[in-house]
Amino acid sequence: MKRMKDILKVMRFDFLTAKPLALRVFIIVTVICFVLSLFFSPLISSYITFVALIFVIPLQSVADKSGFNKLYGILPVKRKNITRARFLYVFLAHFLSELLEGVLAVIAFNLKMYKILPNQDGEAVQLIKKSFEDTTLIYVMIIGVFAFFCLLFSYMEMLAQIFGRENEMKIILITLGVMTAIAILLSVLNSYDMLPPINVPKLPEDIGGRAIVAAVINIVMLGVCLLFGEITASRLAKREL
Amino acid sequence: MKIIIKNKSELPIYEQIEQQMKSQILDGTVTEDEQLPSIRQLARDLKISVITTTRVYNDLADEGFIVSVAGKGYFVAPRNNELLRERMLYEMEDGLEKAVKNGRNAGLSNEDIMAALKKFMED
Amino acid sequence: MENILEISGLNKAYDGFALNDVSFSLPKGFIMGFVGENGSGKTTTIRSILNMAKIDSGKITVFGLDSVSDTIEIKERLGVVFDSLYLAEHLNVKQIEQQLKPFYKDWDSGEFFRRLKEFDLPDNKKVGDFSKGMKMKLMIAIALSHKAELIILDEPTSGLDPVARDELLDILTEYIENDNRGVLFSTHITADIERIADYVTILHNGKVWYTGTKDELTESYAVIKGAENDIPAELKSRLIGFHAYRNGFDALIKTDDLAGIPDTLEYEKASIDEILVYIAKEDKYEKNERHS
Repeated sequence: MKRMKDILKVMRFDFLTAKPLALRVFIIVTVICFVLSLFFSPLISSYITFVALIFVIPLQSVADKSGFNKLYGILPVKRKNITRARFLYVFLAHFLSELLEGVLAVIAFNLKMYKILPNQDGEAVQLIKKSFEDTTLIYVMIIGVFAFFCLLFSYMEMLAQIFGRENEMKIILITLGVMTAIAILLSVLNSYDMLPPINVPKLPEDIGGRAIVAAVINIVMLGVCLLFGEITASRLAKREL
Repeated sequence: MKIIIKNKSELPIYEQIEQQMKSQILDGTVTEDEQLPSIRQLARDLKISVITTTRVYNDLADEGFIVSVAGKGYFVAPRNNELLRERMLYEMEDGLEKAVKNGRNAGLSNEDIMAALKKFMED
Repeated sequence: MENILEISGLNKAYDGFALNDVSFSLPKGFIMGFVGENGSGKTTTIRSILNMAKIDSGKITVFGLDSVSDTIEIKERLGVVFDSLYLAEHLNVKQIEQQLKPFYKDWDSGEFFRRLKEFDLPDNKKVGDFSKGMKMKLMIAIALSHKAELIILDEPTSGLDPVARDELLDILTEYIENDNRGVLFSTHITADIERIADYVTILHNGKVWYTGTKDELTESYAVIKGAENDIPAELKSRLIGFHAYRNGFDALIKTDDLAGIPDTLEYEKASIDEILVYIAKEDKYEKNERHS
């Protein structure tokens, strides 16, 4: 109980640190994205996750520049909870932008504002109309962007905290290298038919099924963030401030 | 009460304060039974350590210049206090003895020493 | 007397530096000056009190609580002023107040804004743009606003102008008027603590060289000067930081050793600054002796 309270306090602290740097830009870009998505394609709103990252990205450099290590040394909060809070914060930033994207996409689909565009029979409007008919693409896009960036940023947060920001790029490159090597290996094996066949499950068609898939992906990402947070917290707890 | 502390004085701070308080008690600037600031107030006002002001009050109380009333603080002792007078007499005699001794060591005659003393009394 | 801070047998080793059996205590209601040259271990000691450095052995208690197992409870009641600000530089004091408020049970917003006014701190300016003195006062305002019972200052006056340093002394003497509080004031500008400190701890090369009341310290040592030939042989070995030059010598001496020195030697009481200088000289002297 005390732990959750402390984590929430630190998340609030992180949010208030980022807010003056991020809020105005976030609102402006979101409104522009939303308006564009109303007329041209609901897909545009999945851009919000990128924008929401300005609530996350500056935190580490502000902490370094402003000597937060000293602050962490005097606040009446456990060091581990400070670390855990950062990972929950990263998850929450992604989760909330995913939610917002979903809501905006639903609004865009229902308003069908492209109908007031001039030249309804033109080629351009026909393309736009098509994008308003395909709900699967936007669904996959929103969940996919969420999952990819949530994974990437919680992973990068872990690296940055454990190895320091100056080594972060190096480690990301190594990680990418290893992943590419595995992918190449798999595709080579695949081309020689040496891999067992994998059945990719089909995406459910009904809304209920899709909601369950979305919920599962979100819970998995939350679990990943908590896990990375726990790994980082236990590594950092051994160090001095 | 007015107290001036000179950082560059040869006298330690506590002695500077003691001297100034004594002379103000004796010449009546601070009156009998007047309440003095607490040890901690005085330390704050003068920006000096609490141990220093504690020492000042302890010394002044020992010498009978002030009295400590439990639970109320420090007050200026009644001035016609016999003890105080005796102490002042003792200090005067002590000072005179030293003065005469130093004068003799310097090779002054009794008349010279008396003349010097008179000069001080006129000042 | 109850101790608000107690350190006993503290050991902490880093590469090329170690705190060696550091012990001292600060009774409730007093100010302790914590002095020593740069690198003597003051900051490591403070980091150990805050559990920022993990101690190798020894015990530290603050308010009677253990510095490792009860560190959270201690920090609720502890204020710290570092030599640099520990807050987000792009925020103003109102935003800082918003951030810190939930962390302290006893946070008093009214007190915080009263202090800002008293200390002349603007509430619309980024704290990163504050002057050094303003940053120091902001950290004190934070400590006072959560009703800290012990304030630890780590070199707060380095790089401060005399006016700001004087203001700090005002604030601290006001703070200590309440006798349930305590102040540990680390500095190498000894003039700051010469007047207000009740106790002094001198750290030298990671060891406690002196700890006790300031009066006892300044009454125990004197600076002695004169011609080298006039020093009695048995006295010379007891001089501290002996330094000979063409026209004579100077050194620190224990006042107990002053009895029976020849009239040709002159002495005067030593300031804390002078004591520090002679301690450092003693090191060099010993090294030179060993080499020659």
